Amino acid sequence: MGTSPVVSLRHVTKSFRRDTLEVPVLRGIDLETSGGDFVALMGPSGSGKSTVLNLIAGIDRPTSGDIRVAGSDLASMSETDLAAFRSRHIGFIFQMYNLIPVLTAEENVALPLLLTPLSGKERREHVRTALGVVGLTDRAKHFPRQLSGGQEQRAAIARAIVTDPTLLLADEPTGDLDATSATEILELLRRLNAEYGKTILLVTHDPRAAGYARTRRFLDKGVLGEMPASYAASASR
Amino acid sequence: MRIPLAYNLRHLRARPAAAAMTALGIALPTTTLLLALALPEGLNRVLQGTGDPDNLVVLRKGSTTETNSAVDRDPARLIATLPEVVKDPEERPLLAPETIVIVFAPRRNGLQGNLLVRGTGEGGRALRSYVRLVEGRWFTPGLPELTVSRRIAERYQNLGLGERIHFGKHDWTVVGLFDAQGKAPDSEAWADVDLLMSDFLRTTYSSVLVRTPSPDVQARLQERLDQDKRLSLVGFPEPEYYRRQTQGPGLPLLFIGMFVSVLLGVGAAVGATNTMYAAVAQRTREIAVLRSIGFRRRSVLASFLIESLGVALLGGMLGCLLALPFHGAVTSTVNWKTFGDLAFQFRLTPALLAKGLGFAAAVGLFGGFLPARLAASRSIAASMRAI
Ligand SMILES: Nc1ncnc2c1ncn2[C@@H]1O[C@H](COP(=O)(O)OP(=O)(O)OP(=O)(O)O)[C@@H](O)[C@H]1O
Ligand SMILES: [Mg+2]
Repeated sequence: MGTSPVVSLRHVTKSFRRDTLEVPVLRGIDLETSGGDFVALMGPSGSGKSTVLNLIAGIDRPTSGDIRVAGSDLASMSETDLAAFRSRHIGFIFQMYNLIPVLTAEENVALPLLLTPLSGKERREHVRTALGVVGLTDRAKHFPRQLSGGQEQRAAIARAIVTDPTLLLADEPTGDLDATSATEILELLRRLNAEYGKTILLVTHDPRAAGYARTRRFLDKGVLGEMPASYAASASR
Repeated sequence: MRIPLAYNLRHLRARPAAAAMTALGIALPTTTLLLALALPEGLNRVLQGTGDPDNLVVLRKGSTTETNSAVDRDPARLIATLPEVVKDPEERPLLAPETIVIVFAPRRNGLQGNLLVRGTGEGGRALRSYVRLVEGRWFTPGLPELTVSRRIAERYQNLGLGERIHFGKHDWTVVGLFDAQGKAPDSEAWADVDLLMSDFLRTTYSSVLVRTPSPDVQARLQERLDQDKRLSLVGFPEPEYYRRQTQGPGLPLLFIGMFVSVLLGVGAAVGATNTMYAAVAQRTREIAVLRSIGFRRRSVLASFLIESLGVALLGGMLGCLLALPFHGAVTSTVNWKTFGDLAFQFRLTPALLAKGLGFAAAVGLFGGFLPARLAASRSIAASMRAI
């Protein structure tokens, strides 16, 4: 693991304009994540957790402050640069799985590879590997609607890891799942971190989910802080 | 860098009704356009294909068509003596003084038509070797007899073989049918020139058709006619004479057809726009996901344009299929130069079908542009929050 951080946020603020009102959401965030970290980001609803992930993924831009991810200064990058940056460095996992409904599991997983110079044969190999890691090899030809929620999320994880990105961003990946499936997904994330050395940023409401991470940060009232005792207690189980 | 085509194809398959309606909406103006364009195509084939370069059509100076020309008997007789005119084996000059009469006659579809009756003679037949007798016989000089184009016989009442039609001072009997291989005489009925002129109290011919031996000699004859102020005549090479008529006939129908297709085309584009807007709205989240994966705005734009284009081309092909049965159908329009009905075939050439597809594609791209731009321009973060 290199010493330079994979993610580095400095004095990051973000306000949204609602009608004529500037609503501050992030009031100065500092966050540093090194390679191989598994960080859980918690906080009440509306505290800005998804906003933090979006800023790191270059999907949204900060009002002020510095964001460096995988050595790139996102502020200086154009839309096209950011698209290429996401393709190379970011694997996104969403609460709603967000598979493309008209594409099969393997076609969904293959999508990010279309943005790489890999050959068709190499792409097929990568897809097979990724589906193998998430344990979905036998569902490769299934469409999303033919999969259970847990299987859909595993396919989505396969899509997120298929290009071997620098950073996995997971926004409440277990929010829509039953307890058993949720555990499967969390175990999978832990394995990706422990065995494959993936750097993971996990946003969650669920203290139990946060328990799978190596470190936990708490976002409230626009700033990052320590876990309140009530959360910490349930997180440690 | 492209979003796979399967993505668009499967989405189209997932909502076949919407795709079919949009395609149908584009098919109709395509058909209209094809029929409108097939019109001049067919007319031009008739008019541009008619005429022998060795023949010179002699008219009164200032005229461009036989219907508004008058050539007195004296100049006509004088032309026959000119050295530029080819002689037949019996040393008779090869030419045909002719007259044109437009007769109102009922068509088989019940509408009145402008039947073009050509008074001619043996020379007229000799100078138009492509006109072949296919049934019966040629009219007898001095008798009220007609030999008519088979196409005309099929389109007009009382013009079948053996039937009679009244005009002028006689009941004219159809004694034969000819075939002019789709050229201009296929819109005509032929009779004896002298009898026809006396029936209509005419003292002048409409034209004199003259055979010349070579282009040089033909040019010299044109020159001579032009120079001789007493004659006051003008000569056109026969192909040019017919080519000059191509601008006129069918133009009104062409304009109406184009106007209607453009109107329907705009409607179809609006329909495509609506369909694509609905598709974009439905797939807001998918688009955001694709872009979060790293697909660029322009890839999203291209993807939706291609989808719209695909539906449009489907509609275009349907439009071509709908138009195809009209291929070869015979119809007629008034030739605004001669005022006679001009029979022609709708011709859907490959080039024309390509134009139809091009039109459909334009409608699709036009209709898909705004929705595709919307799809490409939305912010990922906002789209993710939507729904
Ligand atoms: N594009 C936007 N436009 C306007 N307001 C926004 C936008 N995105 C986020 N917000 C606002 O910013 C605040 C933080 O939103 P965010 O989605 O980051 O919260 P969150 O912590 O992820 O909440 P949740 O746990 O409910 O997912 C909310 O008040 C939200 O309404
Ligand atoms: Mg959120």
